[in-house]
Amino acid sequence: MILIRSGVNAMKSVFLPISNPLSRGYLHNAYQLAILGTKDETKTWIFMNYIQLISEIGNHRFPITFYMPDHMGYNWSILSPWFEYSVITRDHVKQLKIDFKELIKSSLFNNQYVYLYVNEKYIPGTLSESLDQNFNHQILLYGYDESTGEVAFLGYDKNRQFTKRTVNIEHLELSYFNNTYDFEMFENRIYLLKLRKDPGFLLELDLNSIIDQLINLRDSKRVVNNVIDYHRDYSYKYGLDTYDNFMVNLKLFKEKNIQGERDKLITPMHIAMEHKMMMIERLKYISALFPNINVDESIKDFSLLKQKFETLRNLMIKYELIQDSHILEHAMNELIGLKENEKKVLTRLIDTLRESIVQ
Amino acid sequence: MLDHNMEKRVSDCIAEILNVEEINIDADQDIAQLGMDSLKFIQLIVKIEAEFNISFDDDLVFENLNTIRKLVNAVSEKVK
Repeated sequence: MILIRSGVNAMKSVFLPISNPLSRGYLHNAYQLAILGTKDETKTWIFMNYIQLISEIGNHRFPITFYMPDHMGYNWSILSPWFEYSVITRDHVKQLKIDFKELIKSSLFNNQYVYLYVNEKYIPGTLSESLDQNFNHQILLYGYDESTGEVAFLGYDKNRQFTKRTVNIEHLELSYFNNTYDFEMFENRIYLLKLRKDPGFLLELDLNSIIDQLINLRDSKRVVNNVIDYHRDYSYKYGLDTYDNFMVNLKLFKEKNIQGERDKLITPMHIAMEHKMMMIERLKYISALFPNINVDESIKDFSLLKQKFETLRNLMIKYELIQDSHILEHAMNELIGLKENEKKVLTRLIDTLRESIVQ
Repeated sequence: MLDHNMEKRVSDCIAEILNVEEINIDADQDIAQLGMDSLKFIQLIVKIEAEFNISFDDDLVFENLNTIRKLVNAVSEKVK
């Protein structure tokens, strides 16, 4: 929505719509869902995705993540068929001497959300700003007020909450140019994203596709949607087996052989909880679309699982605060039972959906 | 009936976690209204455990302990 004030010295401002995302654990998911959530028609795409989980063996930072690869096999992509997008790299911005501030402003006034990597040291309200330390991270810009020069953005604050805030456009420019990328190939890009009125195709909710993905999740099947997985020689765990990689992290923390509770314990367990929340919303959506399918029991099952994973997430936060190894032992025992329980819950759901299709 | 001394001590713990002088909320009102999020909730649990020298059960869920009354009742059970 663009608001234009009239008068000789008219100042313009723009604030594109943003919703509360269904997942906030990782920024690329949160940003994508915050935009998609503003349009009801995107639900079909959302609920036919965000089912499978993936984890890279030996990488202790991300033991549980949603499996959302793009055409490059990149699991941290913000892209969706609902986005019309353009990409420009920082190298191009520099070489062509493009005015960064004008690029940001004109994109926002053109109804394009802007997604890029910046140095959070210059971004108000972040932990890195309060500690005055460099930190390369994603940011999503969704508005601009010409009268104040403030750019509206979404991101985590220093209390780890996903919030709407503003940054002066001068500081944003600093954060963009005074930044060192961790992965040049993926981070040296500004994405200009416009939510399409129509994706150009009719995507109906396909229960067979959902059933297939639920089976993949339950049976931890190797999902090969792109050649990158082959090239990496299957160095991943999929589905419920991702919990095994989380278990490895719990053991390493118990043995005091690892550090960084936030990335390696809290966020992954938060994602596991959001995965159940997303499943509940998916089932409610299926129920609304297909009144003949009764998934009430499965909604109860997943509500209970969601609460159990929330408890584990909370215990991981508690462990970060008090470093009591009893918490880790409890979590290990719980997780073994939860994995088995979730298998049964998924089997019941798969059977329910299969029976409904046969009828 | 709530133990007023215990209620005051729990309220003081909440105020300290929220970094305010004092809190003004009924015993049955949701403390999320005060800005208590999941992270602060666990900080509060740890604070209350230290204050009363107790240990809550491991099934920590915010909605089960999201009012002063629920927190005081849970503490009362533990200090018996």
